[in-house]
Amino acid sequence: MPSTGVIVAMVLLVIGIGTLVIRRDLVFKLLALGLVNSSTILLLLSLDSKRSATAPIVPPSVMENVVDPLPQALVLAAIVINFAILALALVFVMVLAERYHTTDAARIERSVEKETIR
Amino acid sequence: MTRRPKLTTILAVALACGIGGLLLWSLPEASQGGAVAVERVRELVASTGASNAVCSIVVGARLLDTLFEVLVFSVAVLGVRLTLGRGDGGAKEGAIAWSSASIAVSGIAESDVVRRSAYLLFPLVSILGIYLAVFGHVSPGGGFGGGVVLASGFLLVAVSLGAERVSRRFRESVLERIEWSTVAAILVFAGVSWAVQGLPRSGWISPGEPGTLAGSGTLMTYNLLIAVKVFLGSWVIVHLFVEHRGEI
Repeated sequence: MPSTGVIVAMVLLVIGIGTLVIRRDLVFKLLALGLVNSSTILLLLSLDSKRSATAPIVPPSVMENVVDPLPQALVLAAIVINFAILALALVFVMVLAERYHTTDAARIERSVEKETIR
Repeated sequence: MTRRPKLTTILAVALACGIGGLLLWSLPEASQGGAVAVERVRELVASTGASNAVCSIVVGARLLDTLFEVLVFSVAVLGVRLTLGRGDGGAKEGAIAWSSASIAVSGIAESDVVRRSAYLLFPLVSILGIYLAVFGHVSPGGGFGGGVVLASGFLLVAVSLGAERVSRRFRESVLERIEWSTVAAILVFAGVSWAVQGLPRSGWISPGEPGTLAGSGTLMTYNLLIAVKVFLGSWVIVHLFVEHRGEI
């Protein structure tokens, strides 16, 4: 039976992917992307969590029951890259909104098509 | 009259549920954990001298990965800067000509309480950020966390006093130079490590007694350099966003 963290991560993932596909607003799409990323982080941490284990920040002499540090190191990379990508994507959304005065993906596509035909 | 769900909505929900179910089904039954984790942490602590095993991995065993992570972050910051950024004397070539969105932003309602709170909290947040970077290898923290905390302290002051007022004190070109110099320093530092010891290693300075501040070889230097880089990058991103907020 998967742990509560894993199940919550899966629910967040499903909500994130669903929102990413259904919503047409670009800002909502970015929020959904952030949700998917958060669910991945929660999944990685939950996979190796144990109630009795401590964080892997201990002197070697008292080290007995610690969690695996590898998923935590991977999660750190995921957080940094996600921050950078979200910031850049938000700037692109700002550029599109400045030019087409909307954040609706379908309306932006129609505007681009019109520009191409001209 | 009830609205019938569209076919795309049904397909999207099915796709999301399918991906979630597939991942749940393919998960491993049990994690390695236990003795393997303890053994792995012992090896890491012995090889790097840092009692924070996560830090040992990030700037030790996975150093090459972290270098590329720093590069990806730098490129993203560069993208934000080129698109939103303005030089000291006006818009940079190729930058978007912002109209209504680019308004000078004053402090939050010029509130005395907010301003005094920001002044009170800023030194504490800054000290915490520096502490996280310096002691990152022996306690929870590290370069990435420390840098973000430092940047958030500056953001606190920027939103309470006004981004324009705060950013006027820093010359953008100087910040840019420091940022890229830090990236170059990290790369040179790692290059020397590679030449002397071969990757993956934390550095050419041998680790001392595990768990002590000076016992981690070059890990603290990496953490400090990464903290400076992440601080400057995050500051650039958040201050440009604060500067360009407004109605579209």
